[in-house]
Amino acid sequence: MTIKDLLNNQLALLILKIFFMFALGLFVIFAGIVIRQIQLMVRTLNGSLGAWIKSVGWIFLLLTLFAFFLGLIIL
Amino acid sequence: MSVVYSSNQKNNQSTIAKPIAKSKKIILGIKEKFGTGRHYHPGGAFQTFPQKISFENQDQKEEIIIFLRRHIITNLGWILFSLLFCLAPVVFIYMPMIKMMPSNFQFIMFVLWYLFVLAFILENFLSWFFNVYIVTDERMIDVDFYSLIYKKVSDAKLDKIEDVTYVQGGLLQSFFNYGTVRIQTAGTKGEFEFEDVPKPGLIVKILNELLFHEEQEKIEGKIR
Repeated sequence: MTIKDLLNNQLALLILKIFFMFALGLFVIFAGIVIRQIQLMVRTLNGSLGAWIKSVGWIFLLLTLFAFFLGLIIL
Repeated sequence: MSVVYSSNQKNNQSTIAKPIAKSKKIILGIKEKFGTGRHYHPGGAFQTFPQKISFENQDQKEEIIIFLRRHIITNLGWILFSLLFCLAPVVFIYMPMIKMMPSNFQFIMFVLWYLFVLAFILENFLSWFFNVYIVTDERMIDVDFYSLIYKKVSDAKLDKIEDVTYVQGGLLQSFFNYGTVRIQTAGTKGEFEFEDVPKPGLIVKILNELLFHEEQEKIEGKIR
């Protein structure tokens, strides 16, 4: 069996799908941790760029959520 | 509290002047000698008397004199890596294992890769932006975020400082004028290090000026 045959195998694709969805899920969790950590960081050191950095954190979370749902639809 | 009296000569009348607090005297002395507000930038690595910055356990009357981060050039490494990572898919796409994947899987793989690159950039930026060194009129503070979930804040009173030196070596450090300031203290934490900060010579000068004022106050016998 070649790698090509393996990749055309439905079971192999299912395993790959689970792996990719797991990775996307981890990124969503990571983005949540980043949001929380930015809050703690801004509380420790407050400056004029705090709001901007918080926005970047939220945008990252939204991107990971979008990627997660995109994965659910496409795969 | 140390006091300094100044006379008000308005209308040729001498009036009882307001006492100036010790810390205000120090700040006025530093401002007179080194200027103020010349180095302000919200994302800057070297700032004197920044107006819009405060930290967690700052006293109400405590004023930040120097605010430092590592020199911006120290970010060059991870920035170059990020650019390389962004271009990596151009190579990946020709790898046999990936070429044989269905196109939807290839797409999601590249989405995952760019999420990883974004996370890498964000983590490095946050690490640089929030790892700061602060010198106020009362103490110096070292804020370290070792990872996203581990924070260490150390501080030492200025009167505990025993020795201040700086090290500047190598082509990059000499060219961009940054280095490491080492401060020996009598406190629990024996040594503070301001790593890779801009203008280390000027920082040492300001610290020595602060120490001079502290010594003066001790000699005058007026302890806060």
